Amino acid sequence: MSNPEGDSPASEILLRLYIAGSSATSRRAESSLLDLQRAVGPKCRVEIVDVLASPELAERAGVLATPTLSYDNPDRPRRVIGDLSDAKRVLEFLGIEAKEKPHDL
Amino acid sequence: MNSNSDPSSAAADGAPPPLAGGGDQAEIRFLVEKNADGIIVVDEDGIVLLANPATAQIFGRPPASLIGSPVGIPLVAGETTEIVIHRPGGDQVNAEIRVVDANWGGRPARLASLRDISARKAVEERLRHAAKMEAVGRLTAGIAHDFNNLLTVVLGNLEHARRLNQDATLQTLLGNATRGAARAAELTERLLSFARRKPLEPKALDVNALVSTMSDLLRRTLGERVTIRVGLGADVWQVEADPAELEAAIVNLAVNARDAMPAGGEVTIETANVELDAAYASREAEVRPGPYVLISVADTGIGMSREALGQVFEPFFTTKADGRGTGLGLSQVYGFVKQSGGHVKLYSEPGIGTTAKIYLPKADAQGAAAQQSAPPTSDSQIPVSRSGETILVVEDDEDVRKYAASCLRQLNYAVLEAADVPSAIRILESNSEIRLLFSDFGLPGGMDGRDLANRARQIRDGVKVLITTAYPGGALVREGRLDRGVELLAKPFTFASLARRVRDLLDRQEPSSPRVLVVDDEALLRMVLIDSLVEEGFVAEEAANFEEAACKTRGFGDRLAAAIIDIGLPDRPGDELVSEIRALRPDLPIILATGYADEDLRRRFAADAQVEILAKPFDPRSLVAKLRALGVRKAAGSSDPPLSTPRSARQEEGA
Repeated sequence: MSNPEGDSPASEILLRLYIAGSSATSRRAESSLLDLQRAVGPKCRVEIVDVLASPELAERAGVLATPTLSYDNPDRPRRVIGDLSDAKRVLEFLGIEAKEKPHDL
Repeated sequence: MNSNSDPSSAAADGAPPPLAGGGDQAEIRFLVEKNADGIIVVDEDGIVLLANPATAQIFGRPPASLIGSPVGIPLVAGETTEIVIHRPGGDQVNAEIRVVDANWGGRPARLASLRDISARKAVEERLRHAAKMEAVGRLTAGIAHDFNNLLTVVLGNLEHARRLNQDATLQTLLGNATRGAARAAELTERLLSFARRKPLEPKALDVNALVSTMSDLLRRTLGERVTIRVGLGADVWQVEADPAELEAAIVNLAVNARDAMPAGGEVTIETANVELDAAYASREAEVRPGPYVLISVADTGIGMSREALGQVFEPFFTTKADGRGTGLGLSQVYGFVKQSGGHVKLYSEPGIGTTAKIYLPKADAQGAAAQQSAPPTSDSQIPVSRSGETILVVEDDEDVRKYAASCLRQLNYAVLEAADVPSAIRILESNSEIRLLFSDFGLPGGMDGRDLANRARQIRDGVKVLITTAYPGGALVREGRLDRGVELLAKPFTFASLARRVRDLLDRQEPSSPRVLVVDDEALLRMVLIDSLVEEGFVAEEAANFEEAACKTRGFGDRLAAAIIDIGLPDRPGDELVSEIRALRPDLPIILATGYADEDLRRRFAADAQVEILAKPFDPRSLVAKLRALGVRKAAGSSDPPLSTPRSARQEEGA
């Protein structure tokens, strides 16, 4: 995703979601990821990794279970596993500030 | 787990009640180690601090390798959440987790308990899948049903137009249109087959024989690059299934096998007797344990992913990229097998191949009695009416009714029409010449075609019934079988198929028992006579007076085998009835029952060898003996039950 607001790449936030196939759980996680992206704003970039299709990526990242949401902040990498539907809590754990208070949550 | 300061235990925030019964550190460790559920503690960065052996087992990794790994912070919005754990080697485990905030070594942490719910999930998934297939089936059946009605009208009118048309160009166009509509009809047929709504005609079937006769067909279908191996099991049981559909299912599986092997390969078809046990049945949705005949079709092709496997039976799902697949082949297999009370299972390994296994229930001994299949009728000629027989057409869809009626009229039948059951019954009651009822199955107003058929046979015994339907619901196709005595013509039907079925039915000799007319004004006496006649294998008809008897004699015509007449009838004497009958049937065996030893009567009928005088009172056995003496006996080889029910049964029905 580009940076339409012209933020520097350093401030870009990359959220990587590891899922397994197209199960209902995976689809829920994907939809939660998009909610998170909306909440964070344009500086948020998302990536989805299907561990069934690319097991080596999961292996390399040491992902043992899905869905796992990974925020690879060089200072303080963080991961959330399981339910991602509470965007406020998820962002809080990841240490990411929301663009505005996420509503409709 | 009751101390926040104890670094070896995790405890929830707040003040939990102390552990009942106390327990020292070693005992608490024992509980954690032996707990069946996984217990895992992670710090605020999601790094594993503690994992008990159950956790290690769920993750498929040694506990030591879990400590320090960045699993992540488990978040649970409600009470529990589900995650999928990926074991080394690719296995997956569904786990349910619960989380509480905790302190570990003085730092905030999270304590999660993990439970392996893979087995439960698998069962849920199968039930969900079965429900989905059922829903897709209902939708499919609904569409196919309405579509079939429309196709009946389209095909029918095209056919009619082709018969009337003399113009060659137009003939080509009409021919093309007919072919298109016929293909649409094939499509709806396959949809119905998936929806388990296709009327099946199950027969006792030797699967080995069927597979053997198919080898030529398969060789031609699969081409030279595919080697076919057939392994027939010894003494394979009979099954009860529709042979045409089973053949179609095997061809569909073989074609899939061929398409999975673009460079050629091997297809192995095997049969065997198997016993599906309760354990297997409990793992699979809709499977009953018991003896089955297994037909497996295995290929050495490209195989399928697990996700594709989950969808292969859905209509229009295909993995064939180049448009070769209709996505209906396996749907047919699925629908047919399920409707036949069987079970179908696909095993596939990408790069290795796919094996499809069809399990059909072993036929019970009775069902296995060889059934004769109807001789195929020649396609060359369309049979027409011989003597202008009358047919009643009952159909609520006006276009379909008009089409059916016009077809039958073109075949020289006399046609009466009704749009609903009440008018059909009125017509049946007032037209004794009706030989055949051609009725739609689905009719408005609470009675369906089958009910009408039953009613019609009550009003006019011996009337033939042909039911047409765009799809028969459960009532007609009971577990995939047609009810006895109901003949079925699937929509859309063509002019030729209607002509053949009608003629076939009208020409068929019912192997019925001899029909005896009992004429007596004493209801109780009639009842006794009828019951003993029915017991002896006769079909009894009754009349209480001269008028009724004369009417029934005319109505049954040649189908009457004998008459038992009381001399004293309320309206006219019984001996006059004999004369009346003689005018119609000069040689009908008649027993004249009389209360007086009337010599005059004997003399009058002495010249008629087919009249016997029987003096009252008589016992039923002597009556039957007299009938036999007159040459009236049960038809040889007649295995069908009598068409009419014993009187007592009829009374219960309120008829």
